Amino acid sequence: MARRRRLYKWFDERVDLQNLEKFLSHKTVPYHRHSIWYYLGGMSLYLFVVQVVTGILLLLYYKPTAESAYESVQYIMTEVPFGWLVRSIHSYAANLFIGLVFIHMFSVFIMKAYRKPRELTWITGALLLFLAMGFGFSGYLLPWNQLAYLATNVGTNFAAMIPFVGQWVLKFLRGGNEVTGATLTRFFGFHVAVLPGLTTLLLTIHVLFVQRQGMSVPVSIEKEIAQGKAKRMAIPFFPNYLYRDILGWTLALGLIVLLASLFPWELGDKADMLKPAPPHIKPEWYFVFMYQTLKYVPKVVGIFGFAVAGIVWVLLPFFDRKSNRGEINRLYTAIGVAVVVYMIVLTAIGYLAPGE
Amino acid sequence: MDKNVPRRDVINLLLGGGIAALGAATLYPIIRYMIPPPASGAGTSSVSAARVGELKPNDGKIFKFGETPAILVLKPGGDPASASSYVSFTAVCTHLNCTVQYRSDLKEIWCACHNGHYDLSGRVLSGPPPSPLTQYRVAIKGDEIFVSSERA
Amino acid sequence: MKKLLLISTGILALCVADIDARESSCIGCHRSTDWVSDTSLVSTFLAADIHASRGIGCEDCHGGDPTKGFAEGDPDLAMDPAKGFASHPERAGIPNFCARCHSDIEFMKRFDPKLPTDQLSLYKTSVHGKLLFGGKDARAAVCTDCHGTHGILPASDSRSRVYFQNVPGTCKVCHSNQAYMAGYRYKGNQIPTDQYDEYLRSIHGQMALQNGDQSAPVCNDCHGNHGATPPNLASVSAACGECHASNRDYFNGSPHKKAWEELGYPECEQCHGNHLIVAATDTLIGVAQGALCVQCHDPGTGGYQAAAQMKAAIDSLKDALALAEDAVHEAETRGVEGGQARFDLGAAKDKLTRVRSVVHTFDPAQVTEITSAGIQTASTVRQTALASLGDIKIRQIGLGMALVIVILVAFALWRKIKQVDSKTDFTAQG
Repeated sequence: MARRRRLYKWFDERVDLQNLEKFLSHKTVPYHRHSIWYYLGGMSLYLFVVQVVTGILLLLYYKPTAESAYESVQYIMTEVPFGWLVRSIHSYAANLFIGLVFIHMFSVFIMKAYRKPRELTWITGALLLFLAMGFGFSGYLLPWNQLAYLATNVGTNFAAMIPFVGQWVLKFLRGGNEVTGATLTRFFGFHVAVLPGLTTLLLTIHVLFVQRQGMSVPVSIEKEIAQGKAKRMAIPFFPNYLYRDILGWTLALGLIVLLASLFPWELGDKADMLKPAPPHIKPEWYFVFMYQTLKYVPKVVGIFGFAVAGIVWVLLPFFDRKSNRGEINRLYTAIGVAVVVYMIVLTAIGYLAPGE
Repeated sequence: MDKNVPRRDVINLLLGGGIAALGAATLYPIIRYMIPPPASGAGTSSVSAARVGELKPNDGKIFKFGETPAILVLKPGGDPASASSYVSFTAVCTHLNCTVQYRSDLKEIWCACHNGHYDLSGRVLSGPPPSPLTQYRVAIKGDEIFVSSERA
Repeated sequence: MKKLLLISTGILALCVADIDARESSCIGCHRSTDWVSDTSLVSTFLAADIHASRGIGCEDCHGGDPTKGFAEGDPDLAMDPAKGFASHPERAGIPNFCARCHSDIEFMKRFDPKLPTDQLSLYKTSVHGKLLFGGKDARAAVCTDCHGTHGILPASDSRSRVYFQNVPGTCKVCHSNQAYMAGYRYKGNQIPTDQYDEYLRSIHGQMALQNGDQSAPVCNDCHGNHGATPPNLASVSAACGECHASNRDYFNGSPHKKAWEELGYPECEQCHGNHLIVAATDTLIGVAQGALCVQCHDPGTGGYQAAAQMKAAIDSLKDALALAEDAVHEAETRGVEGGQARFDLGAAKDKLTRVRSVVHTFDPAQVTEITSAGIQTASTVRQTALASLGDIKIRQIGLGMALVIVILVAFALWRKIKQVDSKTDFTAQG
């Protein structure tokens, strides 16, 4: 006991722990029927940390060239103790991370948490989503197996359809005109240096804002409290909310462990540029709704549409005036639900429709 | 053991114990993972083929290079301690992929399947092989003989 | 008289060797359309010809005086019989004509000490030579038919008519011409004219003509060039055995060798053909319809049984290899196999390649010796691969235990949350 107190005192004299302790002990988190959605941000962050740790471990053995990438992943999976586990966790956590980020974003959207004063939190968050998808896209190629090679081919092909700069973007992404070892090395650079750098920056801003401003309470709840229909409730961050946070993280970990044991992530066949592609090649699941949409509309219209939609999405707080005024905006709720339904339906069609 | 152990202590014990177990279950694999395994690295471009003194002059050895066989030959009259006395090639015959071997009577590399003969520069001397054997570089570090497929 | 002619031509050649072919008077007229209608002979000669590039001029073969005639505008000064001018010899005289130099060892040594000088004596033993000298048949091939006249290039030059890839096309000129070959018989039979077409479809033809593989035989590799004859019975396996040495040795030690000698069968050709030799497949062996063995060996005979046994052995090896390959591939793509199994599988595959040569012993015992070893290795590889798939089960058990701990922690957290919540007033914060 005495040792702990002395340790505390040592740090307190240097960085003023008492102030921090006071802040933390008084920090509260709103508690209402929608507050369960608050955990998603923390869980996303937790999964990101899992990715960073497993990613660094993989970096110890992975070789980012076309000649060695597949073999190095094979080595990790067969020769390195628990390499199969690190790899499986990295693959599953990646997908879970992106899925969770999507759900987190849509829950924020529907609760209109992006309204004043949290516009910048939303903007950094939307950009973080794009970075997360970039992580997924670049990371998927790294094992250099046939599936990944073909999916990357298909995915980068769409870049060429961007008007004016399409060819340049394609060459920039691929490191050449075709998907080759140069693409692999480039994607590796994106995946372990460029994207982590940008993400660290945006994530720090994003989390800092959340800490400064606290959690947003939905307009409907605020109205109920104002009308006296409900009491304003909150729980202390420490220890109540934190235990709940940790429970969420534990459940996420459990899900990953379950998936890794029931459906071990495969190695597949090494990428072979000469083999013809099988007919139903798709990009990763979080791109399928876009890929499927582009089968129904002219490509240029589709790409342009997604680009505009992306920009509007990032700048959403500036479009939703009603929420900024603290009023319920059913239209935007409907839009949010519609977008989610659209994404789910098109993803489902992409996988389940006959001939797909 | 006190029968009326407060429930708080039980929960704390459970929680503490569980987290400790989880921590150990996480840390143990990570530490084992980080220690390099004895097998040679992946995407092999360099392999330890033999020890100095393992081969006598005018003798050859088949070893595993990645997933394919390779051959190391100590030339007749060669000094086992000098890298230039050794030659090394892929042991996959360029005809129909049989594994070649060293013939000390002929001082040539020979393929038993269809009587293909290669000289000690990998060139085809006779028989059906259409192209020479890919040559590997030999280097000696300490008392290990390393064979590498990297170009000079 | 012949000797005098030979020596005088030799001296003449020595004398005039210094005159650059390009400067000679012969070239002067024959290059100009004012004097001749066809200038292609000269342009070919000057552009790419081994004789021209070695300083051998028109006069060395045709005689005459290359130093005068063109400048004076008087061809008779050059084409002067007194100076040895003799236009060109008749077809029947060409072999001896070329041999004036090409059989003269001392002369040829000046250009390349390794050049052979036995072409004429070989030619005299060939079918072409025998027809020409013995049968007085001038339709038989002579030197210029294969080598050309004014654009003669060494066989190593890819533009030459006797460069290995061009040889079949050169022989074809006569040997695919039905009208030309009508009336020629070999051992009482009309000589066929489909050799080139058959050769084109053969594996040798594809390798030589399409892949440019110099190790593939063209006409002269089996028939000889100057001493060209069809290989006769005893030497068919010798011709094939130049490259297919193992098969030849196995065959010569097999019961077929003596039996076929007695039957008059042309060894390798009996099963594999001569010009239309296709890549051999495993279907040639055995007792199924389409197999070769049953064309002679009836059911119940020793040969029939041997054929069935050998085929069965090869088939079981192939099955074992396929099973092993499936297991190894499965283990690789699932990420539990690191390369040792594939390495060992390669050794088993070697056995299959080997046994396809050993079948030429037509001895089931030797065949089964190899296939059993191969099957053994393949099974071991398969077991290893399947065992590593079992690793997956072990991992699942380990992860299951980890999952139990996770659920335990989650449960403990849930109870803890309930505990701290019970001491918290949710409305007092806010």
